[in-house]
Amino acid sequence: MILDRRRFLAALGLGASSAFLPWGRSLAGPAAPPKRLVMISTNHGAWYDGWAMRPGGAGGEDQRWEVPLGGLGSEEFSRSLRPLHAFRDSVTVLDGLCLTTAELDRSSFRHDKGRIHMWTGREAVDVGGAILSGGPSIDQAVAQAIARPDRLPSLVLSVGRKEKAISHAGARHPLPYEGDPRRVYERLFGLADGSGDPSEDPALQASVLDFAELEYEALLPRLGGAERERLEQHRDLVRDLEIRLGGMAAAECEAPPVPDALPEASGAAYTAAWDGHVQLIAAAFACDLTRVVSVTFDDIPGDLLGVPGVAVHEDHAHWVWSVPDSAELMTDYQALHASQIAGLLAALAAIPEGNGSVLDNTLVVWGNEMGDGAHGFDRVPVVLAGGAQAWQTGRYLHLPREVEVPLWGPQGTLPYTGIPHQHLLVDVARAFGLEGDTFGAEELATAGGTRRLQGGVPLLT
Amino acid sequence: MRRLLPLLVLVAACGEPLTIPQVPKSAADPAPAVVLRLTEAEYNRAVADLLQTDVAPWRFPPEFALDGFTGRFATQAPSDALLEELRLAAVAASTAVPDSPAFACEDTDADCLRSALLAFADRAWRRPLDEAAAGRLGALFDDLAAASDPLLAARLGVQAVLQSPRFLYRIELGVPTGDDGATVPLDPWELAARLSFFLWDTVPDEPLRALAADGSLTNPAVLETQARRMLDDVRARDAVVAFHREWLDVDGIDALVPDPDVHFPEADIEDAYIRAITNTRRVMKAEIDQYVTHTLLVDPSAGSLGDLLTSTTAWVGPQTAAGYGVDYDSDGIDLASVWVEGLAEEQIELRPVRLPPEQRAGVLTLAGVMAARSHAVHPSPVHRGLLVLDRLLCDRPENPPAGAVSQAPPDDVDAESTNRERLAAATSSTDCVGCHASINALGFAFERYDAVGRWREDDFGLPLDTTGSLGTLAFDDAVDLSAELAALDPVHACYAERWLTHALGRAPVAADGPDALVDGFLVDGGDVRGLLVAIVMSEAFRGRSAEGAP
Repeated sequence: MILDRRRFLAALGLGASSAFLPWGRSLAGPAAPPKRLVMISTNHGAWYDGWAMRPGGAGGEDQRWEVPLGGLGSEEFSRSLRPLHAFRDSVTVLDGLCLTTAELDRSSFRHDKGRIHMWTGREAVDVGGAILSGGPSIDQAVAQAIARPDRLPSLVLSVGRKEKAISHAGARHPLPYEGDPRRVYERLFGLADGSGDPSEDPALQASVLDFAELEYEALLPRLGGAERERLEQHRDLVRDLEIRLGGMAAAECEAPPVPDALPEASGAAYTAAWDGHVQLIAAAFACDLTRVVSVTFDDIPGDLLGVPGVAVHEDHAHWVWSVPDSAELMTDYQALHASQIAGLLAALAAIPEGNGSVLDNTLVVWGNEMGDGAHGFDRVPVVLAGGAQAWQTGRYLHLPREVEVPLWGPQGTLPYTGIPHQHLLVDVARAFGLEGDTFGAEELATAGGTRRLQGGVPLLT
Repeated sequence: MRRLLPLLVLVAACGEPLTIPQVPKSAADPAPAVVLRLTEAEYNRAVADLLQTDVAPWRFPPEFALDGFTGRFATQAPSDALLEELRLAAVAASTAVPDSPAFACEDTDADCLRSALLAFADRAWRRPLDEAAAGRLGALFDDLAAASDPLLAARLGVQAVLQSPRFLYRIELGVPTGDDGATVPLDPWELAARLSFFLWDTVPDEPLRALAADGSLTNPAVLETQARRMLDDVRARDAVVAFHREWLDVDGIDALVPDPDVHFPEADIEDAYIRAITNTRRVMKAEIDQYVTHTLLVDPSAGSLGDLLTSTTAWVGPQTAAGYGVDYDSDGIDLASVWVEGLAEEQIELRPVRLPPEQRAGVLTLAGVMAARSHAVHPSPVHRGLLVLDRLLCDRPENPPAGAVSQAPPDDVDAESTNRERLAAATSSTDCVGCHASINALGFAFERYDAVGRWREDDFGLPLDTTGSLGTLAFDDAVDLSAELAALDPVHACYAERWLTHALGRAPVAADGPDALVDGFLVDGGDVRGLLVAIVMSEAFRGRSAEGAP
């Protein structure tokens, strides 16, 4: 890997030079740049009145409708979404999805269910008390389809301390997070970090991994059942690592600066973790070191919201429906996330690629494990961004409650609820060329009969 | 149903009679077959022991916990991230080779380095190298030495050994006996490794290896002597402490963010608050570690689960002493201090004290345990009650019904009502009260400890009420409740079963004989070292499932 910090800064638009050539173009000529996916999950949903938009009195709560965002001024954006105004032409806002299957799942606590259903679209499975997924999450399914074997298939990142998985490689296979940008840096650029360790030579490392793989092969015939399955998984990952080791080392890439250690204060650490991740995601995409990233945010620390020492979850999120101050705070909460995501969009937009930027070839999906802070699953806020959307962007889509599944809500039980979010997962899968017209659960029992969870979100495509 | 014990001891979480926890399957069901991967602690300790030198501990992607505990087969599936880190960790560990006594060779002496590598593999893989494996590793060294140099080849060889499944996984094939029992006995090398990782978080030492080599370790008398030798050694402390950290979710203290205005008014600027809270968290965690170590492994007059729930011998820091009602600068008691690294490498002294016995008793009443179950302003009787129900009685209530949680009272200072009154009112509906009658009663007993675990005389000016009852239990306060819990059979059963689960890396089934283990623990007066020895002596620990065995 060729390290050159100045060139990386130039690529971000921060230096004098604009001579940066992304990997795909410099070596592969005019080939189309790769498409990338970033899945972002945040907690507690939105305060709907602070998040939703009714531009120009757009209307009909029981109607499907859409409004273009391009002509709207910043003040016409909702408070929670205003930080995304600068990107309004490349954003699609989805108002009216529902984590319906999570509501119907009786396996576990609502936060746990939401985390499983959100990106997998499936029922949670309880394995001896561990709440796990019955299949892959969308980020991993896409990674399997589009990853280069000579690069990292995906990065699974967190901001803050997270204890439950959002990304799943497959059934009963939760993937761990990395919350420290320094460790992410090591994985992306460690082979060329200038340590000068002669044992890091890719050819020598390949010999070591070859040996490890043979060790697995030697043992596997002596094992059966779950033990054999576990060691086969590990053996396959050794093989993958060996294949990508040479590729990662060969990538022509400009490494960003090594991230600093995270500070002690919770708010400062939270901000530093995200800023560090953004820089590394941008660098990884620019060099095609990975094409899929999943990020999950833990609760925003109170000090970033002007309420130091307050547990946002228990002291505000639960209260959005009954305490006006909490509704205000949770509106700010999502606005802060929106500004964080705007930061990622800006970093990707600053890297030239083809006739545009890396952002033009990236789909960013921002979802939530809840519809609202009081544990409702309806009207889960979703924002799509970037140019890799396989549909027209710059739109606000409103979808009414039209599915006959009664749902508990803080305002009483609702007879009808929003569009099941599996349709969104289908759209994301299709945008990356995956086959099939379902993702996760295939059907839903409604009071009006069985609903097939086929195809994409209405209005979107 | 267990006949030695009263059938109805108390009324548990949701109004059901509580008995000793029952394992779900019949005795005929064989134990599941599992292969455990070394945990982060085991990996780091083993690498340092194998290289016989200081190696900076590697931080792996966090392993998900199951019921609070890592090291469980169900949540150990490997990932790309893990493989990346295992490679990086092996590279980093191998940089210690030139200084390692395990590789005391001239840099150019290929024969010496080659033998040292094979001896290293022998210990890392916890059994004598078979010919095929020795041949492969020797050939790897020879090829690499030819391509680079002998020292680099040795370093790469170490990386290969550390990335082999023989190091990373606890591969246990057992010794087929010919009969069709549910378990197959482990061979002596497998047993040595299981014992060593259980009690010391590391590979077997030389005495254990000698007993594995001559086969005598599978002799019960020899095995028991070894288990006792290891428990008497200081190396057992980390493993015992690690169990209790997960049991009490001690790492949850890191997430502690008390309201600075209410609880740290003297820290008037943000930096002062960060310093105060950071050092307080570190002190609280170290207090619990030291309390567990001393009560269970050091104090010859203690050592039982009852002692863990009632002892008043503790270590306190300057940040916590006043909250315990003790004078940090008085002479204290005649035991050694321990030291904690605070912010900016400041060394903080924890001093041994006798806690006021009318205010504190046992590990549940330590500041960190209480503070980690609090809101920013007020204590959380719900989380404290759940601590007792879930962690001590293995009786976690069902999740709240939809919407119930949104009725929790707000966490601010209210001059009109107490924390207890507000929670009781908020959970009085028929939806809630079924479980909360038990949760709240247990949680209210701890209302004398504020949101940072300090003793308090009143609830922001209003009188405190810590009395309660639950089934056959009646208690005045947390000290009283801890004494009752310390004498309760289901508490012992729960604790024993958690240890057995931890030792096996999976949920026990009836065939593992948890009932006999519990009976022995009770007869033994709740002696924890005795419990760990009994686990080592159990058939479940000495064998593997016949399912999937070769």
